[in-house]
Amino acid sequence: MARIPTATLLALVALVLFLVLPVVTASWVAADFGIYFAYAVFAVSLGFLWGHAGMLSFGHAVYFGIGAYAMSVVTLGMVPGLPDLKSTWIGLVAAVIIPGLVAAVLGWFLFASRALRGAFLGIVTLALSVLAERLAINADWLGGMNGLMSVPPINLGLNGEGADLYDTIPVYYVMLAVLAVVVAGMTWIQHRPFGLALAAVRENELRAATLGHNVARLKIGALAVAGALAGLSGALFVVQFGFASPSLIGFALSADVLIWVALGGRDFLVAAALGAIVVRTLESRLSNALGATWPLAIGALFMVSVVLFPRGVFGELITRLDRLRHRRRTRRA
Amino acid sequence: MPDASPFLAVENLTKAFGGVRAVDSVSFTLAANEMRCVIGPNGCGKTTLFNLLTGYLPPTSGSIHFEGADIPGRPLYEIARAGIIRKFQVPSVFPGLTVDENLRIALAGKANPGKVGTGFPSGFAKREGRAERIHILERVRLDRHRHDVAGTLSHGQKQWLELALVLAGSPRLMLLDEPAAGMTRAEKQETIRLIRSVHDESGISALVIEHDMDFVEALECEVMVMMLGRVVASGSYAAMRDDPMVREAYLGNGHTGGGHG
Ligand SMILES: Nc1ncnc2c1ncn2[C@@H]1O[C@H](COP(=O)(O)OP(=O)(O)OP(=O)(O)O)[C@@H](O)[C@H]1O
Ligand SMILES: [Mg+2]
Repeated sequence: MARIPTATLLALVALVLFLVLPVVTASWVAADFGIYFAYAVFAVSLGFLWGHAGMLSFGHAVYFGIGAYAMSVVTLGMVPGLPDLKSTWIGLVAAVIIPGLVAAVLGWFLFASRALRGAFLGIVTLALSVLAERLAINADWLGGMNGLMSVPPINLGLNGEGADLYDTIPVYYVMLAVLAVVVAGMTWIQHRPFGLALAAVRENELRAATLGHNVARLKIGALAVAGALAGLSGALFVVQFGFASPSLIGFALSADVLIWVALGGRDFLVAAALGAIVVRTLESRLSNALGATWPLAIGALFMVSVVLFPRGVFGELITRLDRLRHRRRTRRA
Repeated sequence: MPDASPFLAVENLTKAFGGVRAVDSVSFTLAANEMRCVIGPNGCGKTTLFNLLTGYLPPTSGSIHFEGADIPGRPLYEIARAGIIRKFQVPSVFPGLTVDENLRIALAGKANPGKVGTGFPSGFAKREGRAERIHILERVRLDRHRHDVAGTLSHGQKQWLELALVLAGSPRLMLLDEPAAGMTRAEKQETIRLIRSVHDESGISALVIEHDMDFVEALECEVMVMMLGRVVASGSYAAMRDDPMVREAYLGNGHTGGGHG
């Protein structure tokens, strides 16, 4: 008999809570959460790549940053040769396709001709993020060190001439809707043949190959999907934040997203998403109180949680609830 | 290429690990629809032979032709899609996934003839239907464990799941490395029946590595004997059983059959 997976139940509970949150809190809370939802999409992207496909990336902000810059360049009318182009929608497409392609090309270099595995991928992606940050700092046409300011919000018109989506509450619900669709869609992909084949690659890549799976192509596909999704999250971020800077592309944010996913739980996409939201929430509440010692606090929190809950806080919660539900079922039977 | 190229042709196949020739100038052919047992003492190179046939290891020298096509040098997944599907000596199913997911993975990756360079995403075979999965699981008696996580199965059940993965892979040539190792007597009988019925019904060719001489006898197929990397004899089970060299190989090893690797 089919039953609703525990992770799905948790996702539904969280969705209901987030649906009522703006009703019961001040509007600046909702403004913060709109941005956290963009970060959560970013965390889902890494959760898919790392937790589901088993490919650890230390430079995941590269795709986030490219997405943010792509959206900014388009909506600011900075596309070379196309000064009239200001469409949010074209920006969104660029923010998905460009980082997706970058990730695919990287994957092709890494996997097409050799079986690069384990730590190598981490090291290469780490180097890439450092390199990309330097490139962004030195790119004058992208504002260099200062980045791009006054990035417009989402514009509902075809080419930037329609209404701006600026008010906190609508933006909040749009971001929540995107996050919900992303979690549902990526969970669906996990259970499609492509997603299952990636799980097989994660569990035992040689075995997957001896069953006829083209492991290199699967890995390139996983990187492309994760890159595209991270790019989307970067675009969602920048239309709210209004400012794209080299720090969005670099190592620091790459490390942040790793922490969110590890803390939340990499085995479940919803756990990764909640990890991002919870850490960001704690950060904004505690950084006022703790000031400069905040990084120490998050570092300590990270280490304690990794020791106590190696599968992440929400990963552990889902696993335990699952066991409980299973036991009750078998007792009833 | 001559029209009558054998189904599987192995010529002078050698694999050396340092000084050890684990497989040493092995030559044989296997006809389509033929099943053959490969026997020999521990460490004589049986598994290494399978590693060469599946592209797991590159040969030091020699050739392998499967339906006329060269095998060495091709990527693992291409060899699998050509129809050479293997059961590992140590069960290596996907432990964190359910039995059903294991099967879906095997079905999605299976031989996909007529498509060059298939893969993501259009190359996935459409036939990963539920009915087919249930049918395969019924054959290996795992239908009641369809939603169990593979890592929680017993050893014998994992062996059967390995067999199920092979069947789901639509093999043209099955390579079964000790399919009954570690099984109870009853489970062994069941396994023999399963392998025989798969072979008899669909005429899939097979090489079966086995230590247990009763098992080999019950499979009722030709036998190929390996020693120190070489094929030293082949023929019917009865002929092999009475061959003095084979007796010495087994008895001289203190190996009277019924053991495992
Ligand atoms: N990857 C490897 N590297 C080095 N030596 C190896 C490797 N694989 C096998 N060997 C050696 O090759 C020889 C043959 O091993 P193989 O596993 O093929 O034997 P086997 O006939 O399958 O034995 P068993 O009945 O115990 O399974 C052994 O001496 C083994 O130690
Ligand atoms: Mg062996």
